[in-house]
Amino acid sequence: MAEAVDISRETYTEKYGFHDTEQHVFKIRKGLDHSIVDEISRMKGEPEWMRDTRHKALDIFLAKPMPTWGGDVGAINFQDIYYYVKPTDEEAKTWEDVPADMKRTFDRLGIPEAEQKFLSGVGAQYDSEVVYHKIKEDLEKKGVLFLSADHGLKEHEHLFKEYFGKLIPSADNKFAALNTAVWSGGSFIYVPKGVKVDVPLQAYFRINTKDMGQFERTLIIVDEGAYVHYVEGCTAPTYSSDSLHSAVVEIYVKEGGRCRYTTIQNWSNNVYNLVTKRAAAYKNATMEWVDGNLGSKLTMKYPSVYLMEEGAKAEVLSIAFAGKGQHLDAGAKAVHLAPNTTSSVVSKSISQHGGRAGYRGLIKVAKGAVGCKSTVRCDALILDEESRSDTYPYMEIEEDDVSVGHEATVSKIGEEQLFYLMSRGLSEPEASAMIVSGFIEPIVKELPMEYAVEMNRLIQLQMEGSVG
Amino acid sequence: MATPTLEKTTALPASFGAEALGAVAASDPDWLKQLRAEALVRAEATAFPTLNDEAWRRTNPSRFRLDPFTLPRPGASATPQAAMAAVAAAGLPELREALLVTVDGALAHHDAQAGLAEAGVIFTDFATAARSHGEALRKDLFHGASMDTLDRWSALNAAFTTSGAYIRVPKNIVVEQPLVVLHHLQGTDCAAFLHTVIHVEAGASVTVLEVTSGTDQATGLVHSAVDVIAGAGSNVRYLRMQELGVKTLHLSRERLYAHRDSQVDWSWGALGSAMAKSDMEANLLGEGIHAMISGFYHGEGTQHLDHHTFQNHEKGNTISDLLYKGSLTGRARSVYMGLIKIHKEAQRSDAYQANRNLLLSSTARTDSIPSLEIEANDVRCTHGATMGQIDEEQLFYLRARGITRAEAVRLIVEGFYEPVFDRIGSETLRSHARTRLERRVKV
Amino acid sequence: MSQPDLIVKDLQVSVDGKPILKGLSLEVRKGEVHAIMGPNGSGKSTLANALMGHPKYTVDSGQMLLAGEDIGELEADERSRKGLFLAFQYPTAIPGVSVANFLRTSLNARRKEQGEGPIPVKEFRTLMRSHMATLKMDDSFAGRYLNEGFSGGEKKRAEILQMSVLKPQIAVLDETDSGLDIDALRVVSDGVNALRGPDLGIVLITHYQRLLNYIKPDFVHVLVAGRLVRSGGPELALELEEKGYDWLIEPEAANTQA
Repeated sequence: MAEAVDISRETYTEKYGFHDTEQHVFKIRKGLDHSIVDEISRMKGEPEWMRDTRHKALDIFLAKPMPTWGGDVGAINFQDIYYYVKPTDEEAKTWEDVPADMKRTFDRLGIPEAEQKFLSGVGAQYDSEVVYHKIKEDLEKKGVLFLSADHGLKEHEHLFKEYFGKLIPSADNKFAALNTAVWSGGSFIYVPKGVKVDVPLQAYFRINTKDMGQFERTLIIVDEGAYVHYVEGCTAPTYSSDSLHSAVVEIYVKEGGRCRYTTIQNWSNNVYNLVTKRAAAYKNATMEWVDGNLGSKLTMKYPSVYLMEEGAKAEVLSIAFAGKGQHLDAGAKAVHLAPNTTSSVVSKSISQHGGRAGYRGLIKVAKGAVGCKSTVRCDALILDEESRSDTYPYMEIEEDDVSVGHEATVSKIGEEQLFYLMSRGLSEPEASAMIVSGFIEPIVKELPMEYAVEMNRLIQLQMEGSVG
Repeated sequence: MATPTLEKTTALPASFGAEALGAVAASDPDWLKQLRAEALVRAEATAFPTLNDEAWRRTNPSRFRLDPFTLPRPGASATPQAAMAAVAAAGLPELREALLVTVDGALAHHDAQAGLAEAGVIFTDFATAARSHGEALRKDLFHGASMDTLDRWSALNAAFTTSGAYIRVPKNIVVEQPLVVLHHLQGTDCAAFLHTVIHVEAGASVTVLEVTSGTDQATGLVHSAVDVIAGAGSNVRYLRMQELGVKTLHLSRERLYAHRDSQVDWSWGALGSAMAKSDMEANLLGEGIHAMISGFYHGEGTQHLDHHTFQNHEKGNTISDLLYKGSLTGRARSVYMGLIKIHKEAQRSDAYQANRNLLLSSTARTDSIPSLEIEANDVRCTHGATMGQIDEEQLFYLRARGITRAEAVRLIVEGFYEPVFDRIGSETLRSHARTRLERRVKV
Repeated sequence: MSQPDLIVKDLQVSVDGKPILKGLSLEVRKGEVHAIMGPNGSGKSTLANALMGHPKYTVDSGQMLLAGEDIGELEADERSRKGLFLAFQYPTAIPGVSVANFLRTSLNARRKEQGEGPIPVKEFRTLMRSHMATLKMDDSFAGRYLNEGFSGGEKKRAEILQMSVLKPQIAVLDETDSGLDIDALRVVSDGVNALRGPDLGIVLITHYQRLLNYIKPDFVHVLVAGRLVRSGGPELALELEEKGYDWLIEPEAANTQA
């Protein structure tokens, strides 16, 4: 179709930027008002409390001003977006039941193959709804819940309601309010006490429809001593007009539990990616965010961890690679609310061809949270004269018995390094790509092998696209 | 940095209107009367900052009010005795070769060797400068900026400047002895506006120590404006000390305008006041500049010390190196917000920024936000911030040598500041800074 | 015979709730050199730190007497001023504090305790320089920040320098030989030997016999699993070098596992 234009990452269009002819069983009219919210709620047949929550959230969204910091969100026209596009009537449990075009899309993205090889469960969302969802039987038997958020609400309303919107209330920020008003899809995960899900669960988010807004909602509860690794990936067609992705993710890690949440964000360069992600870590619990940002026009995303009880740990690893026309405002927050809690943030950002990558973070140590330790390490590479790097670390410390440190460097690729590699026969782009790979290696090595390979390949593509 | 939003204009108190302006400007030359009037118009057209302004989110702007205060009534207190008492209290008796003292906004003492004037060096108070060197001063005030560009506090300063100093060193003149300026406040319920302008012409060299001090009985608000213009290839060593009394509020707007190949060694010590907010900009306007910016602060009781720094690299081949270190005890609080901006045109720049905080009590609080905005790629840029308490192992080591806990803490705190003092190139300024800090830190 | 100057009686010490020393007794008189040898993890550094009063080391029971006085409740600085000295295995860096400033401050703290005024600056400088010369230290060393960026040898020399300036009654040297090449070891040992005499009792804590070739002990004690399992003369050290610690550990290990 004619809309598909290349923005900058030439190889993206071919690999991910394609789109199916529009197919859906229902597409709501463009725009946002209370009747749209009613319509979404009615389509989902959800309980009244959820409908009320949505309406209240919409009022908050309308009342809140647009953020004036971070990126430029002024160009978003909220009335020119489809807030709900329902792709199929039913969530499928086998890929055979997924409509052929959609299945082909996920095949091209390699999802069914990955599920076979190295995943415990997969959820695949296409526009507003999850079209495929499956978890391995043995995990189901152990009581692990891995459902679309819509099914989570239907089938486990009590549990869902107990946690929904508690960490990120609608009033938290304008985009959290928007998500709460029109949310659809996303994952609902519950891992019972002591159960360790050794192999990752993955969700894949795909936008297909033009001028679409995707607002998935994810709720993860890791009970005492349990473990889960959740991986999400996302891509979209390259359209000439902009799309909006605004997710909310809430995670609870109970005593001694551990949750790792890995994102490989590779939206096309016409997507506004404005996401609120927050976790609460209780006694001796560990929350890890591994956040890779390669795509989108603008990303504003600062995964956060609230360290609620003694001994809780937060770890955030963040990569942002911004190319032409991209502004990636990534980062992390750790809020130390209890004694002897620790946080560590490692951020690597790269910008090239006029791209702008940045780190924005907050380390807060509240009164009474003695014995806390926090280290933040941010490194930025600027690959050419057109590009820009920002670092905005906020530290707010209300205790003396703490150790908090932030260190950052900004540099370009070292000419000696480049020369050394080129003297061994590598072309300049190859040498640069190798140096960039080395630069992000400390984070990439934390990814499961398959994703590390994928991440390195994406970086290569990003680099090749830039010089080709 | 975001300029304060001018969302609503709040009226100025009657005591800061045209009548007050007339009194302050009574003996001014016409150009200054005119400038003050323009500044008052600007002040009336703008608003005070609010908590919504990013720069003011951590330091409550409503603490800085004009309505409880009036302009100082200079004269009565500005006696030579008061000046000498202030000089002694500020630890300056050894530095009297070139000394200018104002008390409550009036010139109280002025010593300058004949040699200075013979070399064409201007070293005088603001009012005298306005009369005798009006043309030069007008060009140097706010680096020649129009009144329309000032925020409300700066415009108020321009309108109501009560006193200040003007230092101008002609081309290629090297001034050996340090020039010392002391502004001392001892009145009650006064709002004093001080403006110091230092212009070091091309190839010239000077060392300046400026102290703003006050008694603990003094109440009110002091707003300081400082413009330092470092001409091409000049060499400027400048130490600025804030030692106001515990009941005084302090606002400070410091601007460095560094030109090609200048070497600037700028240091700042904040030790006094109830609440202080300093806003320092180092503008690197030409190639080959080396600017060293050092800060040290110590807060105790309920003191609140806020520092904002901006290293603005407009041109390439420039170096700015900033280190701010502070310790806090009691319920004191510090805020550091720093920004390094490297413009696209400023390739091959090095910029460093570090803020280190030592927390000496569990009720002290510190916020640190060291930021970077880098638009050029061929740069070396690092920044860092740390906050922590005294290391127990260090304490144990010293105590194992027989040193008492209090003494060990003092040693460690002094050692903590040593890297800042090490950077101050002028021996006179360095030892003054160290002595004043050590006198102040009672742990 | 005179009363021992340092008496350690049935000392039990734990770290983070874990017992390390399980009843250690030791008597040291001025003029004597005691070597305490033991394998890694036997409690050697715990003994050193507990004697000096490090807050992380909890004394659960037992007594420590210095010149007849119980020092168990005293802070580290009080113990130091009473004449106890610990040469640290890993001396801590104190940024911004010069060696000279530190030495003068600690010497004055001791003089104050003895009712003397601060040492005059000139006198101090002469004193410090003479001690530094003995230890083959360059004058510039005095201006460096304490232990910051010191090599292993410089750190150990700085410890001995402090010991010679402060003139303790009892000095505990914790693994003073670790990380030293042979030349540095000789300089440090010469420094210690020069201080040796009727006014100083020395406790040498070491893993290796090597140091004892340079500083001859009068007594050798073997520390295993928190207890002194053997005591004897210098010949015991040679026996240890020959046989290692295993022959002493076996029965002990069996004991603790039971």
